[in-house]
This record gives sequence, C-alpha cells and structure tokens, in this order.
Amino acid sequence: MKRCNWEERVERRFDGEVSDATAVDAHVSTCAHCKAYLADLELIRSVTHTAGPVPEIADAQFNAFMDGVREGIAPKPSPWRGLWAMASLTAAAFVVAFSAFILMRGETQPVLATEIESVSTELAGATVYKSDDGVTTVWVNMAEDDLP
Amino acid sequence: MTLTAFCIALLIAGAGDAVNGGPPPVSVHMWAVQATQEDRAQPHFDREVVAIKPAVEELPYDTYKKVAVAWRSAQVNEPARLPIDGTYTLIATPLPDQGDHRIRLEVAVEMKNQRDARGGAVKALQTTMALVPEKMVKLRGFRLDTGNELLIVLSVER
Repeated sequence: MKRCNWEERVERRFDGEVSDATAVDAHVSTCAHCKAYLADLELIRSVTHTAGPVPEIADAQFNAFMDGVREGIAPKPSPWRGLWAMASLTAAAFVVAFSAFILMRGETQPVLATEIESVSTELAGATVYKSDDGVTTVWVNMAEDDLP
Repeated sequence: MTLTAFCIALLIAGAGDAVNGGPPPVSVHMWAVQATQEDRAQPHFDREVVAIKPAVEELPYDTYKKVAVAWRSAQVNEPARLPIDGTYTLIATPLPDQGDHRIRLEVAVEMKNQRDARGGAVKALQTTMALVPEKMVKLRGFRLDTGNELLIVLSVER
C-alpha cells in the first residue's frame, strides 16, 4: 500500500499532540489510507489496554525474580536421580564387602609346593626317602628279601 | 543386570561353601606302570598312561607299560582303595586341609605277603603329603614279580 504524507500528523492527532486537529480529521475523512491507518492505531491501543497493567519489579525483588527465571530454564531433576544414587552406593558397598570377604577367606594366598610331611615303611630292611627332581618323589629301597 | 544384583549373586555364590558344610570330596588319580629300559629310539607309553609323560621325563627308562590306572573320589578321612595288581594296593585317605590350598593325603601302599598263608599285607610305604592340586607326585622303588620297577604316579584335585 502506498504511504501518505499525512501519516505522522495522523499519529500525533491520535496521541492528541497536534494543534490542527480539524485539518487532520478533514484529511482522514477523504484519505482511505489514513483512515485505515487510524483504524489500525485504534485497534492496537484497544488490544494493549486489555493486556492489563504490567507489574514493576523493585530492586529488592530482582534476585528472587531471577531465581525464578533460572528455575524455569534449568532442566528439572529426574525423580529417579535419588534412587540411582542410592543404588550406586549400595553397589559400591557390596563390592567393598565382597572384596573383604574374599581377602578374609585367604583366596589370594599363593599356591605352595607339594610337601612330604612324613614317610615310613613296615618292610624289614627297606629304607624310604623323598626327593624333588622337579616332580616330588618318594622312594622305597626294597631289600632283595622283600621281593613279592 | 545391575551391578548391585551382580554383587548379590557373587556373595550368594561365595556363601555356598558355608551353607553346604564340609569341603568337596577329593579326587585321587593313580597311574601304576612297569618302567623298563629297552633301548628305544623314542620313549614308549601305553595309551592309558601317556598323561604321566611330563612327570617321568627325567627317569632312566624308555618304556612305560600300564599295570593299573584308577580314579577314586573320597571324603576327608574316608580311605579309597585303588588295587594295582595281585600284590599291591594303594590306599589314599584325604585329611583335613590346613587352609593353604593344598590337599593333604595319607597314602599307603600295601604289599601282600606271599609267604603269609593267611594273606596278610604289610605297608610297603606309608606317607602323608600336602599336594598341590593337579600336580603329580611319584612313588618309586616297588618291585614287580618280573623284577622290573613298579612306578606309581598320583595326582589329586577337588
């Protein structure tokens, strides 16, 4: 739509700031553009009034106001968050308890070598002894008379 | 499965021994062979006694013939008799262990006294051993009626 040179004067007339209100009114009555423009201004004013008054924020209220804004922006904590934390703590406690259980059972003791604690024979004239040539060995030296 | 559930499962499994009571039975494996020197190019082992090969590599024999191969499972203080031949019998008795992961075993090799009309036997060998599970131990020096050595190899496990 082509603009009209009277738009500024129509705005000032709308705001009650012009002295030649009669001339502006006369122009508006003959100019379709300015008539529509004045109608738009009146519509905007009416809508603005229905929005109600905007509350002012005092300096003392500003911190509380920003806290509210931040709460609105920050992601809300999951209701499961506490449960997971508790589960993790429980799991950690079980790991510690299990480790202590294994240690107290002596599971980490090194494996020892084979040991001959005692050795004897009832055969007369025989002797017994043990040796370790890589594989632990118990010997029986049988006398000729001990042959079966 | 969560970590918590996994840990609980481990604890339950670990507590199983305490719930079940005594230790598991001991398995005693015995290989009794006639060992001879026959000037072979390669050592010979009867098929049933090939398992003892690593334990006898250093011996001055090249031929190992099976006399008896046996396996018994026994509880602590319960003697297990493993016949070898008409003369010898091995008796293995698991003993209470001392918490060092070794298996304590009392071993007796009974020898029938051929001159005893009542068939009496003497203990040609009696020994108490603390054995590393699955590690072999040799009992040597017994004589067969052929004049050759009877070699006994033992191994235990739970």
